[in-house]
Amino acid sequence: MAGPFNRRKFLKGSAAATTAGVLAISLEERALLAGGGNAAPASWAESGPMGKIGNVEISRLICGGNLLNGYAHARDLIYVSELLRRYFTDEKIMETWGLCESVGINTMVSTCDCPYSGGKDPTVRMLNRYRNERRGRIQWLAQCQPSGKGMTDTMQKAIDNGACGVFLQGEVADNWVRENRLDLIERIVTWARGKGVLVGVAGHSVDVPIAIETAGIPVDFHMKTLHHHNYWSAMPAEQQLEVSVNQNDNYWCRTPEQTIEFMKEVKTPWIAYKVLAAGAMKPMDGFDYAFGHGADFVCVGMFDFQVREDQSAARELVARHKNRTRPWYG
Amino acid sequence: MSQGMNRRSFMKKSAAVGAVSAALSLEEKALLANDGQRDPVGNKPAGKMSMGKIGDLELSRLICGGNLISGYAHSRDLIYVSPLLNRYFTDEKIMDTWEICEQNGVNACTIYSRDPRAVKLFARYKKERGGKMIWLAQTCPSADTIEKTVDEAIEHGAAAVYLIGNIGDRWTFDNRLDLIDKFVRYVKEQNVPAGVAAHAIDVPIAMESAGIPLDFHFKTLHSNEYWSRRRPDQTKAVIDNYKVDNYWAMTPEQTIEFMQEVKKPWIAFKVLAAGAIHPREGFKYAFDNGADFACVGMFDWQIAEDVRIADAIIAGAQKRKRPWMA
Repeated sequence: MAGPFNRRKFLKGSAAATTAGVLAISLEERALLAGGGNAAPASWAESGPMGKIGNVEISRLICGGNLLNGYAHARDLIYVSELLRRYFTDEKIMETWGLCESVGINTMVSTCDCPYSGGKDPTVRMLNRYRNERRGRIQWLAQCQPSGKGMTDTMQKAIDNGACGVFLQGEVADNWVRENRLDLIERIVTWARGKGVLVGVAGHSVDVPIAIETAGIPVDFHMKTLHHHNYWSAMPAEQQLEVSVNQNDNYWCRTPEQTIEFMKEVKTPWIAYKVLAAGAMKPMDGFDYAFGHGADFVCVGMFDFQVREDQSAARELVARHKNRTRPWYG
Repeated sequence: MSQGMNRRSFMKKSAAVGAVSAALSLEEKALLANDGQRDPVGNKPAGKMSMGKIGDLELSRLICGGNLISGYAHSRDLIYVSPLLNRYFTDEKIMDTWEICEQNGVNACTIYSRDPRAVKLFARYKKERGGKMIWLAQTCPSADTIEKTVDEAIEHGAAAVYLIGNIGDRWTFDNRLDLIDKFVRYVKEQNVPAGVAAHAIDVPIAMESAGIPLDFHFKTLHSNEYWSRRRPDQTKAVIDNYKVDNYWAMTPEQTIEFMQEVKKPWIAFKVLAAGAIHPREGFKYAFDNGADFACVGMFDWQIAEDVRIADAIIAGAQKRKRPWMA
């Protein structure tokens, strides 16, 4: 794997240039440093739009992880979550990540010991298999939340397993902000920063980034939902509730205009998620709205058969919105 | 799905202690509702299920629908579901699904006769696996291709032939009962049972009024008790609502009322509103309210559970208002 930017250079670069990502290099990474790479492109930047958070180079399109856990947000369609669980076999997960890498998507978001997965969150197990068996180099931004064991144990586990960044799950952050428990968010962010990885806080409510910015909590990135409401199942007449208490599970950004307005002045990189309203919009629509209104990155759950189209849309739309109102951060 | 702490038990616990989620989403409710009810594929077959007769055909009261294997999800505005179905249902998976149906006593299926892959697979299934599944062919002829369409379906192994609901609706709306009559009579001339499918209640009413000699009605039936149901401002006929595609029985009460007096077998379809109603509710609504059979798209992992639920409901519906007509 000769090229201007391969796995070896990436790891060497990461280790040398940043205290972020991986403080300790795993055995498998050492093997990769000594060995070759996978089918990823020679240069990420040549194959897709890239940005940076801290010193970590991250594709503007990030592969989301909900689908791997069977969390479909499929409105009232009873069967879809189970179908996802059966579709995403171990092989299919690795195939999907491999496809992502092959088109220049170098980062994925997934959970670490998601409490909804009944102890079967595949992320850590599959990421290690993927690295070992396929020499995968996809980076992991780990979605974490406190568990019964403590506030930071899932974050620690993610870091131990090579996560380049961690962030607090959106629903937890929504609740803590609503309950005026910014002290908890700050404690977690401070702890994670001490580990030398990227740190973010997710939120469905715009109150979360507002609170974080106002309190000066030093996050490396905001992870905030963004989508418009022009899709059938949005059911605008019913949209009165906060996302975290919306039993119908059909919208994730209740106040997109307010989000866009507030984020205009925020100088920290913004990863927008749920930009396709969990499958109800085409990428050329949802990505256009997100990149056009200030998102620096989009995190999108993708099936293997969607990866190429999604990356193609991201490439086109990032270029289209090069001179947008909100400067690109990251 | 039997683990110490799975998503369902987690959600139950969460709901009990009020942790994490103050409210349960539709998805979470579905998972909770299914707790302990679902068997993995390959579980002990439920055995022979309740049967009925159309003509000389003895058919299971639960019939395996064909939309899923042809990639028609009717998934409202969720763009990815139909392509996902096409990838999940590999050739082997389709044959597995039919085989599991048979193991559980479901002996009949519908297949769209214009889906060449499914039609070929049906022949392959019989040859390679010794399948005995009975095929009720859903056909979509034009005015000029009635004979040809019927002939092809029978040639490929159809044991009964029916007119697809879109055309049943269309020709009824257009006052072309002559075409429906021609279709039905031609099918019957081939000595196989003939049916006419419909989303609109106008169709069975027209069939019965005109005395068209069909062998079975194939009419949608589902309640409006699901979140993505027809909204008050949605007034289009089902066949004009495919852009949204969220309802298939606009007048269930009228359907139930009219069918009470109809003496011919009734296969109800879309009884789960294309995946939004649990079989415990959808099957009960259909069988308690007069359906003789229910045609339901099923994934491999749903079959055993669906059969158990259907059988229990059928057993409890023996004294329903409409007599069993098959």
